[in-house]
Amino acid sequence: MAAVTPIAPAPVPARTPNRSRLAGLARYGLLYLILAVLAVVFLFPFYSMLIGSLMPKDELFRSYPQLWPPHGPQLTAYKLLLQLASPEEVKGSGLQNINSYNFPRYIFNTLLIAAVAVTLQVFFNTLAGYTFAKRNFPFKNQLFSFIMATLLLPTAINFVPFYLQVAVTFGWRDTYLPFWIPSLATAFGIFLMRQFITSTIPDELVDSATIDGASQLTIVIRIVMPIMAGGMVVLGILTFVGVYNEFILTNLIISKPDLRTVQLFLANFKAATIRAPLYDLLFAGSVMATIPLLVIFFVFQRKLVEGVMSGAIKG
Amino acid sequence: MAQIIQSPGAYSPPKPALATRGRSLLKEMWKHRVDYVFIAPFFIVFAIFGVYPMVWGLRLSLSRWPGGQKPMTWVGLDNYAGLLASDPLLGKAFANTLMLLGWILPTGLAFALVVAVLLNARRLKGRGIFRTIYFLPFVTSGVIVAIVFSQFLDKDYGWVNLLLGKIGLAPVPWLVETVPAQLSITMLLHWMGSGTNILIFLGALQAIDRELYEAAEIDGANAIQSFFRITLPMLRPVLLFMIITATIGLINLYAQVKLLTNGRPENNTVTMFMRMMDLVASNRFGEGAALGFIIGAVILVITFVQLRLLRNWWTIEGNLSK
Repeated sequence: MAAVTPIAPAPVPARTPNRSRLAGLARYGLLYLILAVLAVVFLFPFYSMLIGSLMPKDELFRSYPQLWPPHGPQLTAYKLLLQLASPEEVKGSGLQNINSYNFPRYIFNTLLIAAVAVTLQVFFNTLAGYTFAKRNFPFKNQLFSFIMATLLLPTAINFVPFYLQVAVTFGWRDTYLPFWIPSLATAFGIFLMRQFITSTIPDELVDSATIDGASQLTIVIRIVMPIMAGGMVVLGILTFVGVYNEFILTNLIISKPDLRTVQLFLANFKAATIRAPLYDLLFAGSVMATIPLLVIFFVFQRKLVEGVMSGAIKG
Repeated sequence: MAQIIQSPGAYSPPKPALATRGRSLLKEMWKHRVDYVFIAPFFIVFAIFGVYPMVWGLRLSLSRWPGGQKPMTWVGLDNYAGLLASDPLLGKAFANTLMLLGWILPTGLAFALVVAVLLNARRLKGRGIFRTIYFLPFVTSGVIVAIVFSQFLDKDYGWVNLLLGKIGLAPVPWLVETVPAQLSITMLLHWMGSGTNILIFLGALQAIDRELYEAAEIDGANAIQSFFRITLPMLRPVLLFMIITATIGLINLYAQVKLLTNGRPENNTVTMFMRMMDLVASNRFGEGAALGFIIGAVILVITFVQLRLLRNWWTIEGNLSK
């Protein structure tokens, strides 16, 4: 072993690429470090929500913030919201009337509103998107430009009269119709579906079906929709998330306790306990409210990401 | 005169032609009736829930109406004048909204662009995972984000002050004092919205031809030069789209701020949309409708100015590169 000679200096030409590779490695190391720190920042609120929901209230306020519940995770807050808690737990919750809140019902209501809205919007927007993408008829371009121009109308302009119209004139207070009917077909949805259909469905396919004597509706349902499933999923998810998380209109329209959405419940609950927020319950409710969206997000993640990435470029 | 009236024969040839053209257009439209039915839902819904409230809202904005069965009294421009001249909060709301716009828009877009450029690094592994993580806040609602952040920023029990304490800094009264409260809203909006912006920028970056950068590198351009000479100009259409949509989004800001600060302290975080909702809540519908039109006008003016400025930037850059 003693025979090992000191390493000879490397020949000069070999040195430069070696050093630049090291510099490259260092640069990428720094890049990964920055990206990882950002990932922690983006994930941490989710984590703190989850951990907070697993701690009893007094622990939350005595020793919070903690990265891990000092006495192990506890499901008391979840049991309280799902009405599975024992009388002692109800007593300790700081909220005697906790059982008057029907949390599962609020989740169900929200899912119902979102599911119907998604079905309607995806169907009618695909119908219109197909027509603008593949059909030719008088005034087509003018009508499409008009639809695009409506995108620039600020919501605030007619928000107050719109609310009065649906709530008072139509008497739709305490119904879900305001979330379904006015947005049956939307400018954004038509635009998105037209983009997808133009870029994925060849004219020949539609033409050959037309020659075979298929009606337009048959073509849309039998040929366009199956091919367009990906695009419909993108529009469906964007709609679902938007409607599921809606708060402004819900807050004005829904006043019956049984019809509350989960967002409305959480907002009211936070406002009602503003002096000493019951964060254990608020967090447990938030976690349960977010789970359906997280499931959808992860199942359709790739489609959604691609949809958001490509939709805006074409726009 | 009489002669002209009596001699329609001279003008008769174009008439049938016009009529036939009209009739053939109608025929053509009738032939395409299914197409019109397919696109009809949007127009029907827009007429009933878009145009009609706007027209009726104009009348409402010129009236006093406390709702219910009570009569609507015509007050002319009183609502507008009252709001603009003597509303105790509108001036503050306007200033707050403009200020949020003035710093959230540029910092948010710059942050998203930098992250997107980092994610676009050629040999980066795990790009999809980072992309997904940054986009995750997209699923949260304004209500839930406000709940999480109000705990995060709690003066005594919050994470942010704990962290500041760990590095030896004094706790910040986040939701209690004006500037910290504004910073709180900024943090919340950046956390919530950056993911989408990053995705859109990343999509646009990936659409830029790599050969452009290779050519620039051969010409001796460094990374910063290629960013300002290639990346930024190529992103202009996307940037324009994002600036305009983000502006509208920020002016319509409501749920997050309502639940995080509720305008505190001393109404220094009240937004214009919040003021409008307060008017609705106190049954001052005429003024609410008027404020809606005022907000709409503000958005139009801001969008117009942005388009103007960006167009100038466009041509200045274009001239420079020539």
